[in-house]
Amino acid sequence: MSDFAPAAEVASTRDAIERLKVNMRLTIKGKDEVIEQTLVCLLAGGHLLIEDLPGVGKTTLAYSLARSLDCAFSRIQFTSDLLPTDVTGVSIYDETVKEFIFKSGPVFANIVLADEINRATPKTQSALLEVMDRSKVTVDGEAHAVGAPFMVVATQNPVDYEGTFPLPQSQMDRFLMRLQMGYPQPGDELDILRAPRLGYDAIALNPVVTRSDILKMQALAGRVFVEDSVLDYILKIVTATRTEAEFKSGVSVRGGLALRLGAQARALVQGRDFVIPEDIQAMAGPVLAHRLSLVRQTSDALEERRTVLAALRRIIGAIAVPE
Amino acid sequence: MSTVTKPRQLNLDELRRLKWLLGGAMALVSLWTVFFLDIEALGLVGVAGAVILAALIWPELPGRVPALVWKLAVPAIIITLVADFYFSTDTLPVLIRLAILLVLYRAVAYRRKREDLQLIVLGLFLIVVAGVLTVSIGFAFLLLLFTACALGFLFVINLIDASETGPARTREAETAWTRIDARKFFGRLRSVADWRLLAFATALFTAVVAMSALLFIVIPRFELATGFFLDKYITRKSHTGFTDSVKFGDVSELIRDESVAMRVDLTDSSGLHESPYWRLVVLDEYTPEGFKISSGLKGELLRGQRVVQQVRGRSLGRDNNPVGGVWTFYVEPGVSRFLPLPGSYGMLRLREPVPVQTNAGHRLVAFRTEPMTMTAFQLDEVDLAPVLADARFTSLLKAARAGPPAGGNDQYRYDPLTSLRGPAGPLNQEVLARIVTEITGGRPLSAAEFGRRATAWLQAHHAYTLAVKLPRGEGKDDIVRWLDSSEPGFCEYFAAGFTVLARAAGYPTRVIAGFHGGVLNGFENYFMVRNSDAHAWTEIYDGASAWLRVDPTPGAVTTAAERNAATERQVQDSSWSARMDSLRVLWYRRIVNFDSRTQVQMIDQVKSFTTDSGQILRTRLDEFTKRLRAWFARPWDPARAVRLGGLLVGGVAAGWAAWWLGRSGWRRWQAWRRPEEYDPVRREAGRWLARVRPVPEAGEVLADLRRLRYGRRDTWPEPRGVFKRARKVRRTTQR
Repeated sequence: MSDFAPAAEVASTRDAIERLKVNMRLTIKGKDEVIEQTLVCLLAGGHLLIEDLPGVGKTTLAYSLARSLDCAFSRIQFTSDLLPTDVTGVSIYDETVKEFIFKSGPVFANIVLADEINRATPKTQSALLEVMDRSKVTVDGEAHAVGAPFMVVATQNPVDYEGTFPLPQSQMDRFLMRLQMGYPQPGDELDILRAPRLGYDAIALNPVVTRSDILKMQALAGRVFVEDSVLDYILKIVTATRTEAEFKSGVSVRGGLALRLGAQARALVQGRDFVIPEDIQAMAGPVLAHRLSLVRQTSDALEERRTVLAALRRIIGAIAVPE
Repeated sequence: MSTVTKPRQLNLDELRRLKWLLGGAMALVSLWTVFFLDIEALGLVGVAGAVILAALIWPELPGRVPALVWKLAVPAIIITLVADFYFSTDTLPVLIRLAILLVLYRAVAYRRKREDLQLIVLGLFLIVVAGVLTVSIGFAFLLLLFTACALGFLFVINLIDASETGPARTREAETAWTRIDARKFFGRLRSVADWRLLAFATALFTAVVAMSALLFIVIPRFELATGFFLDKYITRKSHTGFTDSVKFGDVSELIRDESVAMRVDLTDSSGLHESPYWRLVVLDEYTPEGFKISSGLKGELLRGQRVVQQVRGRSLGRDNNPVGGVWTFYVEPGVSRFLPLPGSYGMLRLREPVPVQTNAGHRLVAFRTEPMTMTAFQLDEVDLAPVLADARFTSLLKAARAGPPAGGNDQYRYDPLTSLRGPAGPLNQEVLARIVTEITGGRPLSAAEFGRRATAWLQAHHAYTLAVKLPRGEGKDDIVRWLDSSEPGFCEYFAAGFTVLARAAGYPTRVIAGFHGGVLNGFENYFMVRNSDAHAWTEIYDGASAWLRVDPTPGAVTTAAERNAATERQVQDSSWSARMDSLRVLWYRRIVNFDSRTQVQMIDQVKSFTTDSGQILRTRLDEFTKRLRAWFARPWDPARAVRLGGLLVGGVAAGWAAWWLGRSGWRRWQAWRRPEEYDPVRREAGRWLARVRPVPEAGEVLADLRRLRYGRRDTWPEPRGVFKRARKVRRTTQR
């Protein structure tokens, strides 16, 4: 078997992705772009940070994703008094068997929704981040593997800053992508308003993809072919962010790798077994923007996000696309 | 390594740096033009040029200047302007100095778009003014240079405009471009330069220039060199002395002016062994202040005024020794209304019929007024002999001595006796008589002999200097006091002194003012005569039929041996400034024509070249088809058919081999030139990707092209088929 994704598997992946998309569209109206990005993140095996106002469908998105896969889903509502053990689980002494047994926390699932992650204390945040990084929980020297696939969908409110602990730059780096939901188009919103039932219980989706399929697709994404000139393109973009005067610091090496992985996953989602420059351009914003911070600090997170995205667009616009 | 690195692009900061560079270059080019103008601004130009150059090399410098200085700059310029207006008599130089200051300010201060455009306009102002005033070849060159710079500048501004879409940047980021290392920057420029595009642009620019040049030849020439009103706003620095009256000191003032007064183009300078005396003005009337043209002679000139294009110099068939072939004169504006004539000549030709005043006896040709622009005329059969035939003067003199002329005592009628009148009064005449006796020894001498002896006497008693101190003496004229002393003097004193002595001795004599000598340009065959070559000498009448030239000034060339030595000495000027000056003559030769025949000839040549080549091609083709037809008409036999078939096969094989060899050679060369970048299929696919429009019917081809460009090699579809389909799709979508 070659190191690269075989065309037949790519085609079957495309079918699975198409099924997922159709399924998710049943509950997420008019957000095809976001659905696709979410699936890209899933295939890339990365974690997702959704930064948007409350009530635009972040949780619904995560929930529909989990339901469409044959996967376990759990949700953690982060608050300032949430403890690390509330996330990871705890060892307690069981009288009946006379020994400590591990009560697993909500993190032991395949899709974990970490709601309002910036409300928790740094200690709790870092507990989650360790899991995100290593895919296992270590309690009392014993490692417990979390589910596979494992994907954290964290949400964050960019407006309400009071009583929050914003994620530091190094921890933002752990998320593969950051997305915005945005308000739906009026027509789509009308559809949502027409929906007879409300609440997450109303999300009655049938799984269309099995867990093993997901794992296979994730393995396939890493084997999508990236031609040298395209790698060079990534390198140029990453290097340009490091010399740009507007940014405090450029994209890390991990950021560059993430961009490559994101582009590979996007190619796979689109049914290609090779990456094209458009993949890079489409993924640069979601993958790189949250890894960059401005020299000129602003108190408004939304404005900072806009400025960073604009600068990123300008940088990419100035770099010649490999022809 | 990457397979594709071109076309790389400059980022915003590098573009800004490029803009800075081009703007500075433009400013320098426009400042350069001021050197062509006779304006007192050379110091300013030098300083401004140096400052702009410094700002070009170290672009961070302006950032270090305190903000207060920038704020004060504009008020300072305004104050300078007002003061300049107050103290200066001319308008244009003030405006030009203002423009220089503004260019300096704009070129060294960081600019935004509006200010960039201001810089272009200011530079254009300087260029246009210089061009209008000088009409020189240098100006044409500068204009081309400036145009190229300005085009590039505007292009870069556009590029910057297109990429400046982001939000406003910090101050730090705004000046980031000034900190780009110069070597790195030029390396980047070289690496992003698309040589093909540059070569194409250069070729286009050259083609446009060539077209303009062709138009310039073809379109009937209008008066490029005349009639520019702006010239009148500049008082020329050269104080030309050759007007109707020349006072003592006028010529020596000219000697300090090093600017070129005229250029004389010779078709053949081989026979020329002496430095010519360029006669401009004949000063026949003595006044205590100096010599001047008598009103009689002026009246005579005025009466001789005709609108002509040609002036005959001497009747044909006269013995003479013509040298130099055809002499073409280009006289700078402000030299004189009289034309400089090196001796007797066969024919004088002007560019167009104009009112010309001529006087045969004095060999004078003059315009009505002093020309404001360069004057050009031609002479042929020029004879440089120091003898000017004038047989009429004897009879005129006789008639004048006999009694007043028939027309009454009109002061505007020429009186030959003027050339015998010297200082009046007993004190003057006593001194003169004493000196004349000293020279002649009381014996009657021929005019030539008197000339020699008087020259010897003058040179024995007076040395040459440019600063004259006149001794005091009541009741005596200046020149008589000078003669009576042993003070040194300059050419005017020697000429005037000689003339008053000769007149006192009874020889008709006159003072001639003009130029003597000049330098032969080492690049183009012409004389450069500078204002510093201004000179005064005399002509003495031999009593029978001719005026003899006598140059009493020490150092003036007299003997043949000295003459040869002088030719050796003055041979050629091959300096850099001479090279620049020769460009001007090239330009003059181009724009000045004495008849339209040469122009017509040139057009005919161009036309006949094109039609002839077409005709030749057509006749060859006709011949070939005729022979081919004859060949086919011949009877066929198997051997001939085989021969023909073999020939055809051989031809096709040779063609294919040539094509294959050429292509593989080209590829190998490409591979050798850019080894890492070479993957022809990927490149070709990339090219097609850029060409095929993303319309629905192109979807499949686009996918295949993308696979060829970015996909794995072992998954490639057959490339040639894909390219063929791409070509088809492109054709259909274009329709």
